Amino acid sequence: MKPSFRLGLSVIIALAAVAGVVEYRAGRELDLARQARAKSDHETAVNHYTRSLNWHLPWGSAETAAGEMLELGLYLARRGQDAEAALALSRVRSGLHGARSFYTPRPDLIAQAEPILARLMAKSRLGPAASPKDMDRLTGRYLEIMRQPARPGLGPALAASLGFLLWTGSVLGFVFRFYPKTPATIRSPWRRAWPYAFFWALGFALWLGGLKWS
Amino acid sequence: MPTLLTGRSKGFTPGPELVLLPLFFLYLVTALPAIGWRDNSEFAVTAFSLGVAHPAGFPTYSLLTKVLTFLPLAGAPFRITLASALYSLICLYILYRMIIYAPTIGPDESTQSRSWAAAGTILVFGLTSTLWTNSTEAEVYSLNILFLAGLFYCALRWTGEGRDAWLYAGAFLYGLAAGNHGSVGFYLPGLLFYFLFQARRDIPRRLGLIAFFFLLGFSVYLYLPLRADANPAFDFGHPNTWDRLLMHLTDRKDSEAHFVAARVGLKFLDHLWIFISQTAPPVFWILGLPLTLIGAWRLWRRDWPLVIFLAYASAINIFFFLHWAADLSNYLPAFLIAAYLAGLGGSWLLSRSALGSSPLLLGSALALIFIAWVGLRLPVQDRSRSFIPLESYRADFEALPPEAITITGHQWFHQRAYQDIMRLREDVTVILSSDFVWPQWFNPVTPARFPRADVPPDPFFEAEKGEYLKKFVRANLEQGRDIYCEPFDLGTRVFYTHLKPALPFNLKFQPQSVEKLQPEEVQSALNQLRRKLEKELESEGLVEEVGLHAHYIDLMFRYAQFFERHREIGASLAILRFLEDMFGPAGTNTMWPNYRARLHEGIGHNLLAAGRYGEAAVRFEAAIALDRYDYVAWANLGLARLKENQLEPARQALEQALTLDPKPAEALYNLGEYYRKLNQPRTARQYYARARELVDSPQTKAQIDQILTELDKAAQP
Repeated sequence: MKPSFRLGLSVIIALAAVAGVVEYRAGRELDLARQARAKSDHETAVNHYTRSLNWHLPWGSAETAAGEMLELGLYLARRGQDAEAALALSRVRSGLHGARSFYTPRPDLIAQAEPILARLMAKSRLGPAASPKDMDRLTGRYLEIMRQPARPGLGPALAASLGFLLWTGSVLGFVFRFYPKTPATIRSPWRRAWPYAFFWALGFALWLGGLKWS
Repeated sequence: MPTLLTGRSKGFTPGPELVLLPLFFLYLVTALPAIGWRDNSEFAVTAFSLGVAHPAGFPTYSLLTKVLTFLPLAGAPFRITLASALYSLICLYILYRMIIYAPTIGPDESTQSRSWAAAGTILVFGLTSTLWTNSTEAEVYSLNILFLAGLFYCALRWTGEGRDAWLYAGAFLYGLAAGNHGSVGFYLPGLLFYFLFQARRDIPRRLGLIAFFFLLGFSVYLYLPLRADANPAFDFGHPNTWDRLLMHLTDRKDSEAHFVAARVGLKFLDHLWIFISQTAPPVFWILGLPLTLIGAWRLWRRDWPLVIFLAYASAINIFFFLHWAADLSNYLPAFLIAAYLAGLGGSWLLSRSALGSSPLLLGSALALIFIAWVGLRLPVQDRSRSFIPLESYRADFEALPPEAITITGHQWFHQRAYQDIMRLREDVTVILSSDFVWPQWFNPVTPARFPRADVPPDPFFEAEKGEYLKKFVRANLEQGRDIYCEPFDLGTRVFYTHLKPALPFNLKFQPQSVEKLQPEEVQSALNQLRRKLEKELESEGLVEEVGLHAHYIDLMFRYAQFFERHREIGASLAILRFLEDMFGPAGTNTMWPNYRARLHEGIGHNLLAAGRYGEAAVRFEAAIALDRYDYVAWANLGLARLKENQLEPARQALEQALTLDPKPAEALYNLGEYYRKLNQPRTARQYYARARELVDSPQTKAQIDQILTELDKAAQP
């Protein structure tokens, strides 16, 4: 087997192993959450749903866990168990945000959880005797806090990361192109290496810009 | 095709993936599932949010690790942990390449013996608990040794092939490595020595190019001012100006502590002995050292400057970190070098034995090592179910009322992870206590940073230590905000009287000074702390958690101190004794010796306050047995003996204490007491006066002044 083939195969096996382990653990936690919920042990259920979300894989068991935890939070809110409901809804939100990569999974569930969560927080702050006007004002305020864009922004962060890989890779590329194994046969090392200098400049600029604006 | 299992072909050579894939799977299934303690949390946050970590900032780590956070697999902290595993595996791959690199060893050793020796070496090194631990948590050490391995590999290829590309690639990697862990700077003299002895021609021009490519790599530090300027939430030291950047890079805050090993003569020898007898695994001296020496001898014949450089790099690594003997991660560079040399030694041995041509036997031996070692170490190394670092502090954080303010120390790293990665409770204002107390080293508190809090507009740097914090607390309490604080004296000792227990690990600021805690408040606080810890002990195996020592335990020390300051000696003792019970009798004690010493010292201090001098003395002696350079334990032992009227032992302990601290105010004061008891007022006066010069507290100064006046009166005829 060629080394490149072996490397590629190893990477595929490694990624498959990660996906397998992550999904297995998400499923296990989801099962534990369901068992606890069947016994009406909501606190334990929320803990296991949250752990399941820690093992998020797109379209996997973790997304089912997020949906079920949202449903549980809404149910508890309807029953007036405000603290438990707030905890469940808050965990739906934080679990999905904690699994974000180049995208945030299930924004629809987050959008459903946030208004109820904001109202529960306002209620806990103002007390049950608060006027509807005050309640709406504070709910709006908490909702605004939750809906602020996450930092660092995705675009600049991607630019910073890709720029960094580009300029560091280009320096190494430049060095090995400029100083080949058999220098006597190379007439103009600059001609061979200049594209790397260009990519270095591009990567460096991208990196600086990404860091500045992310 | 020849296979490992049948061994039909004698020409079979194991590729690195045969070892690396099982190791990857092992790291994957035993890795921390979420954030870890303190620095682990910190690195997870700074990598995810492109923040600024503690000195020297670790920009290379943050930038490289950030790339992996874009993978949509599991929670972000787990991805960051997997980055550590990946760095370790690439490091092991390079180590493999280094060992099989033919020009280093010479043509008299077969490819087969080199490959088997390399596979065995990376397997054993990958299974060492130090590398295993560092591959299963968010830390910078695995990336550090990856860069070092890369650097060594470049050096080998440069001298082996004479191609300057390797020289400049090495210089560039060295610059990047400096951006990951500043300690690589210590290798510079060794690297220069190596270059000067190997370079035969054109030295000035090549040195200039080396400096150029190094600086290119080192330019990664531009990250710090750029990110500080963007005001990320995690912005340790805020290095946005030239002065602050220099302070951050040189770690001026802790630089004295870093070089302590170099200045403490005898203690250095003690630490060296601890390293030899306890830190380095015993198996190294039996198997590793002979192989390492053989490898060094083999390499010496081909490339003696490299051996000198590697020996220097190992020695400087061990020397610099010697006083942190308990944390083996610091020694990974030395372990890497030993592994390389041992691999060369192993190759030489295999080429001269019948074993070297028996793939079936060698393959079985490696498989056996893997299975046996994993079976043995798995219960200790497996942290895959350890959610405590994520969940323990989170319970307090989630229980905070809306728009509360938390002033934090240990919990800051975790609370930042909750907000910056998980976007949990973004309504809470989280402030690092050090930002208030040491703004010159941390990040000054400004209205722009904390728009939801009432931040006093004073010029912060000119404020007296703690005064600014008092104004901040007062202003926000007046606005009806709830302010919480973890047990921590904030460097001022004045805030404990304004705090009451509220959550298991957090106290709450009170508008009025609390003169006396009510018995039911104390009992309730102890109960909820105990319930929490017992629950975690039962469900999670609290004691086994790595990193617990430095953080969780410290918080309990501080909680005990809180009760002690409130003169609740019983409660303080209860916390410390609970801590002692948690870790069990000496035989099964997993608490690091310095923390055990501190525990004895804390209990002794409480017993002293309770007037139980004999018991206190026993505790101080136990602390001294664990650390004979512990100034506080000696000074307190002297005091306990003095209270018991055992004057000669008291004097001996106090004079020993005098030799251990440059500002031994307590020991001097107690020696004053000693000579006063002996009715030698003139000598007593000298000690009191010396103690007075060293104390900061105005109250203590006034107390000493009163004693001095009394002594002067007594001396008058």
